[in-house]
Amino acid sequence: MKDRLVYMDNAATSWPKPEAVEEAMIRAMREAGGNPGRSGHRLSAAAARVVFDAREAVARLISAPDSRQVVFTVNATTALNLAIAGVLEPGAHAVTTSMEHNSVARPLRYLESQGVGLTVVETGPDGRVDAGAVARAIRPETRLVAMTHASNVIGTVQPVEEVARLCRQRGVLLLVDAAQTAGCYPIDVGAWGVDLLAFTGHKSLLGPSGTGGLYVREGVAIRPLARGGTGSRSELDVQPDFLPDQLESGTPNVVGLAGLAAGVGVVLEEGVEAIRRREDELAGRLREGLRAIPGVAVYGPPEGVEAVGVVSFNLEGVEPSDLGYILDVEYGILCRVGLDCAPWAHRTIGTYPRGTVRLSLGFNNTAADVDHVLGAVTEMAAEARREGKP
Amino acid sequence: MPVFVVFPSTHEAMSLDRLLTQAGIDHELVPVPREISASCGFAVRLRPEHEAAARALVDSGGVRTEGFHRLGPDA
Repeated sequence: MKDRLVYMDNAATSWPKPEAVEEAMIRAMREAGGNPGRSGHRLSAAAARVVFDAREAVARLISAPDSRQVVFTVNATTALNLAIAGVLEPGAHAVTTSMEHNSVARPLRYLESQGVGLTVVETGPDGRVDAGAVARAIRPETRLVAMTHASNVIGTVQPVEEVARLCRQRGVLLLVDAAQTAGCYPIDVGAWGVDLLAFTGHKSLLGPSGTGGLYVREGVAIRPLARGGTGSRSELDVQPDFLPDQLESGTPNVVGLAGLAAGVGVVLEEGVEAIRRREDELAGRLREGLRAIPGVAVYGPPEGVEAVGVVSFNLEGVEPSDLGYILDVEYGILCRVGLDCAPWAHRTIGTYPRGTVRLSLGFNNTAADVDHVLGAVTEMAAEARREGKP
Repeated sequence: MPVFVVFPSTHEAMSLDRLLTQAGIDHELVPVPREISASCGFAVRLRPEHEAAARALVDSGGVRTEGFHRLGPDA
């Protein structure tokens, strides 16, 4: 089975991409090669339609009431930075959780050094944050609560809807990092009352890297990170104040957005609920199978706590980096090892600084893939015991 | 005399473009005529008999425009 490739690094980026994504990108390159909305000719119009379609597709996926409120960025990190830097000023206060990725932790720590107050709400090792604890951390000067929708280390899903309700009551903005959920877990920004939601295009939305964006609830004012050409109000030398143009300066990634629209199309056709059910079943099989292997420690939520298909584990006596290397070279299993750009989360679950082996399921994985992984880890555990490691 | 619809942003132009296409109403995306605005970007050009239908789509679809303009055929 050495030739077999089992890709379980979908929390880093999904692979392989649907053929429809490749085809849409090639078509955009050939048939929509103008600069969208800048030039007024047919190729410019074709490119503008590509961007429009991508915006409409994402709005539909997250149930945004108005696609104008979806702005594109090059990735979720840029979207998170845009939101965080766009609403916080020195003297303001922000609340976040101990399960955040560095794409939330680092911008907040930076702003803390510039005079923004910061409270990090700790969670238990299951990673689930208590909505009440978030609410209790809110102060009169709190402007923003920033939290992940699901952990990129152990998959725990956060009570975003409840936090949104509490934030609304207190007049505080809620920013949700949906990097690990958009496309594989239902999102309804309208019904939940989320103010800001950052997404990436290249994970469960099945698009290419270089795509992502931010949903901004109507009426929420954000300072742009960049100002420049928008193809609108060209007679003025000041930034337009309407979306999406205000937050989208410069030529966008038209080819990437063509792929993103196609990827979202595949997700919508399959249905997020159906994808969720399938991945949840596979994740259950994986967690359960790993727990049954002697010497394996599985981190993350126990039964009954919701999680997406991200599973972290360690094998006693073997370093995660060695494990990842052997899984790749000997078994064709591709995963991530170490700290997953999330030192806070690893401290929270007790795996800092060693990290874990992270298996993350995606659109293409099957039960046979899970069984292949379980077989490989079982062999490696037996090998470790023979060598007398634990 | 053709009718030109102009918009604050490309997104709005694309939005009406899509609605007109879905409704089967003949139209064209053209550069905004200089007589109307110095802005770059798209205008939607329509035959005058389609103006009422386009206005109805603008209203029902919540499209933001910067007006309907009638200009000579040389515009």
